[in-house]
Amino acid sequence: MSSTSENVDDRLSMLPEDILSRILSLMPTKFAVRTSVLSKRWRHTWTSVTNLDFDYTRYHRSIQKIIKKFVDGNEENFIKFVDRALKFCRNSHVKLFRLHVSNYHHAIVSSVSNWIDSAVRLNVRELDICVIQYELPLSVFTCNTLTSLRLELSACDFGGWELPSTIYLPCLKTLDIVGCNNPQAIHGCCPVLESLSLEVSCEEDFVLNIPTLKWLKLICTSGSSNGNSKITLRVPKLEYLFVDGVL
Amino acid sequence: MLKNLNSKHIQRFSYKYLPQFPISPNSPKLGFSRSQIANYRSNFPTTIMSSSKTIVLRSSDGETFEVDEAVAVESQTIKHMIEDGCADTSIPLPNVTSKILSKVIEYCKKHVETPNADEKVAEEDLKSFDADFVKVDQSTLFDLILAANYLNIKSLLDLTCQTVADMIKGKTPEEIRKTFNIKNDFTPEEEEEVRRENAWAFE
Repeated sequence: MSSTSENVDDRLSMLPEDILSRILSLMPTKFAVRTSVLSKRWRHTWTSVTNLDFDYTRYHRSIQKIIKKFVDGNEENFIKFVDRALKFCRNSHVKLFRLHVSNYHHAIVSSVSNWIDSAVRLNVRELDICVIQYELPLSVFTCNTLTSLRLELSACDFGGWELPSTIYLPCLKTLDIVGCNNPQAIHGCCPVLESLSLEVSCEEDFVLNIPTLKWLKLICTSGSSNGNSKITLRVPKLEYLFVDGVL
Repeated sequence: MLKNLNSKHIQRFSYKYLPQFPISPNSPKLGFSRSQIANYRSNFPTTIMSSSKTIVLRSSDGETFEVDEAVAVESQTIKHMIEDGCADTSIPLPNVTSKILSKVIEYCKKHVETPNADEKVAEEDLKSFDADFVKVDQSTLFDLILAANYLNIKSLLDLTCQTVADMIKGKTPEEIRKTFNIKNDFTPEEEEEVRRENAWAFE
């Protein structure tokens, strides 16, 4: 232990609580919670974070967008961790809830829906989900605090998100869906939508009628054998358009 | 901040331009309109109001810095002080030393000068300025955080907090303690319990 360190104060611990909460919100929740063991003063500091960010993926997406599913024996600990974080989160208005899971264990798969529902009940504003299953709690699609929603499947073997018929997201400005089976369900349900990114398998014709839309990214992956489906865009305020894929 | 205002001015002001609520050091932003302030200026010519072009800031150790108003109002705190008519001769900043204030002014100048262009070059240049700006010792970094917080400069607060966050994430608790000189006051049993509660975080 060098002698110089004895004269240096622990200024980090002396920062005001709201600044520490801001700092801890800027990292994955795993690392924020790690600070609970630094000293007694730090034990509950992490509970005031504004962002909840859980990442339980093993491999990054390759160019072919395949993530290997895995089961590694830590599932029970992960479930306990997320349950506890949601239970002790002192913020009733969470800014960001991110859940990226590519673990395939059945216990995790059955918890994901509950976790997302908890986030909605915490008045979440930004939701970023990348999981293995297709079922989402319906509360996500009627959440009136949501301003940004991102849905992706972490194992793109097949299929895509099937959006429910009753969607109403009054504050949603940004929507990003990777792997959407029924894009026509978006029609009319997001009155202030400004930015839309869709990856669809263009099997059927569909119409996008969004008067407020300014930014659109459309990626069409090849659907069934008859690749000639029609997409109609009614987007009078559009400023930016990006289109890719098989049209 | 109202304590530093000459009380004579307040008295004169209150008779002619009384807002609907009492002025107290604890009241929120007074909300005088610009025309009210202009009226005040014309009726009390002896009051020296700073020109709309430059603002004088005074650090805690008495040093003064003259800055363009456009640069000074990057700080929401200073912006409100100017709008409230508290910026006659100079704005005192008792919580900020000259060393830190000069750095903050440097940051605000750069961010005001860089046009809000979508140009890649300007964006890259600003990013690299920001990256170099936070390459300072820990003590200065914490002073910058506290100054950005007090002066309410969101982008600077975000930048400095992210820098500290990057110093924490990915490290083991032992490494974090060493980096920031945090004293571990848990007993081994207490520490074990905390680690067990959130086992997945420590894997």
